[in-house]
Amino acid sequence: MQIKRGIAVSPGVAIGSAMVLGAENFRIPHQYVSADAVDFEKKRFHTAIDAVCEEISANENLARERLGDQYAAIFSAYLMIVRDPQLIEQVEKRIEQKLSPEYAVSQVLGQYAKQLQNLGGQYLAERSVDILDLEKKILRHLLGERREELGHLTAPVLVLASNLTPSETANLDRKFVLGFATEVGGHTSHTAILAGAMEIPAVVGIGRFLADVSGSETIIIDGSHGLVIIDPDEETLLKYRDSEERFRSHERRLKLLSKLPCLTQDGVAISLQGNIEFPHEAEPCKEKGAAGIGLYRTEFLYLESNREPTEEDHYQAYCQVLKAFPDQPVIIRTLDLGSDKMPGALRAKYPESINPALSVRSIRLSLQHLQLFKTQLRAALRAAEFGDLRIMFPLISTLLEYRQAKMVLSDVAEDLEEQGIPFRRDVPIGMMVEVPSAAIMAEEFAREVGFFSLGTNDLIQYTLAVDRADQAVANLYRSGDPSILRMIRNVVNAAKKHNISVSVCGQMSSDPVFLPLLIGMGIRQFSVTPHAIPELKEVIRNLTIPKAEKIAARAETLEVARDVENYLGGELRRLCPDLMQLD
Amino acid sequence: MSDAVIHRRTLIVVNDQGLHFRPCQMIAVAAQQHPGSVILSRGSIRADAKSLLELLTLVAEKESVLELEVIGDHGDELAGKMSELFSSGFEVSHPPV
Repeated sequence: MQIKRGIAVSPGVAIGSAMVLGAENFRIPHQYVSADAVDFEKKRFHTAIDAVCEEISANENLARERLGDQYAAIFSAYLMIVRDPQLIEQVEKRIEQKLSPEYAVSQVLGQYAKQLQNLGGQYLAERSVDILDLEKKILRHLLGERREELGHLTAPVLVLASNLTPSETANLDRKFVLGFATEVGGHTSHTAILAGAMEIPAVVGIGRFLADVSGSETIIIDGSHGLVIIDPDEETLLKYRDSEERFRSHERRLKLLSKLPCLTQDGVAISLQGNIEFPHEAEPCKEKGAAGIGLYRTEFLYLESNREPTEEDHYQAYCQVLKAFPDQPVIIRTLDLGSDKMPGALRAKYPESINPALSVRSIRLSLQHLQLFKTQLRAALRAAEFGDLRIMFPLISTLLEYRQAKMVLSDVAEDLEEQGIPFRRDVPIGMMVEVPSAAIMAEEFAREVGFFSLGTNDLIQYTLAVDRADQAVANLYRSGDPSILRMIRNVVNAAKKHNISVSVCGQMSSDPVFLPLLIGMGIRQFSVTPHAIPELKEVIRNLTIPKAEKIAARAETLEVARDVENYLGGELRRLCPDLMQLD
Repeated sequence: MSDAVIHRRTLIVVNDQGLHFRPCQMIAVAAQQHPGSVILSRGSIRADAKSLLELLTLVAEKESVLELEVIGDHGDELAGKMSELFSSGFEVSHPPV
């Protein structure tokens, strides 16, 4: 028996056998193709080559702009290799011999790489690495974004992987994937957020452990405590079977709460809304007792498929969400792509930047690709006819940026007007406060902005300079840091002064530990992971406003994150002893 | 093209870095303009001169002696161009890539 410790991101226990996915090792699915598929497979090979060339050309242009012609020449040499007549001829010959293009590419380029390596010398060894890199690029296009294995599950498994991308996670088949665990990733990585939304027990950020799994042993994923147990002994297995049952009964108890009003003991209403990624989550979110959608992460529309969604795709998706919440607010956050979320179609335009979190992402991407942005805004304004839709811009860092985004929205409204297409004119417009500059300037923003939503995930990452997915610094990512509390305080004060609403939509608001503090600071609206709603409601129903204010006042005097978090943990234990029993 | 004309030249690598990426690329670009086959060989190693991948495997360092074989009409034009490329040291003014 081996116990691996990681970060608990989605509660629950899953017991079963493992499916192990390697890091970059593409598993080549079929070695042979059928005789009648030869032409089709050749075409597939050429499509992949074209796609790789497009990718390299984009890099070439970028290098020319930033570094000059001689660096761009590196890429033109790569282009020549991808279009190399010998490569194409030899791969085609192999396909004609019924080998799969994946296998053929891997074989031909592998041979050249090996040859160069054997010829000796540092220079050629490096070139052979370049060639293997190209092989990977071509294979990635041949195999598609999704790893083959995940698409073809026929029996329940626990997925163990080095990493799962958000789109891979979103595409996990809930029928067969009982739980997953990854080597990389942090609390607020999008993969983790998705796992929570899908209610699949998950542990991330375990560090290297895949080598210890052969694939035949029983695995336990304890998503409540962040543990992965390989080959458990009889006693442990029994304990977990029992806790699996207890977890379910706890869930049943919380379910009863969903029908009860969300009021503090002294009768103050707190609004708990849901964060969703996909329109089909809206219904289940409502069943959990959500008072609307406080954060609809529309970028998953882009990540789901490799093509860019059309205006109609957006429109249909928004209408579906509004249908589940006809009388309650539905806040559409415009696309927040970039950083760890980049769809295949855009990846060629934005090759890996040196520091993606500080590069073209989110509203910056939208403002650079107005057509992309306008398509989404058109759909949102049209859908707004059917409910209380609101629009929120992410990652606003300066007033100018906010004004620019608003101007694009006015343009779109004007276009719709001219074309005689029905839409709603008075859609409330707000912004995420998730960049420290915006939190500092909250007072100025509050004069112009319709509503604030505190995106604590990015706010913490940018304030504390901690990459949320980087295992080496993940322990420095602390929601309870006094600097974060002070930023929140500043934003709440500004909102109060200018009488606009402020909610919290980051992971921080889904954590019951922080809820009394945030309520005590004056926040009455939260947007949370749907599965957290019942638990948070239980906390609210045990709380009074004076008590919350007292907790906030005390917490705000503490100097270090650890003290804040310990204090809040102790208070929560006193408030809701039942909640902590599961631990 | 059984009766095709074959043009042969002997070429010497004069540039310091030998046939690294950039010169190979220049050779392949030139060779790809020619409809017939173009072969460069060093001793017993023969390379399709239109293929950067194969040219690299020649590992032609400075002062290597290579045989060029151009098959087909107007082969002399290409052979002349190749001679120029080689003798000018591929006019490589920047570091090898």
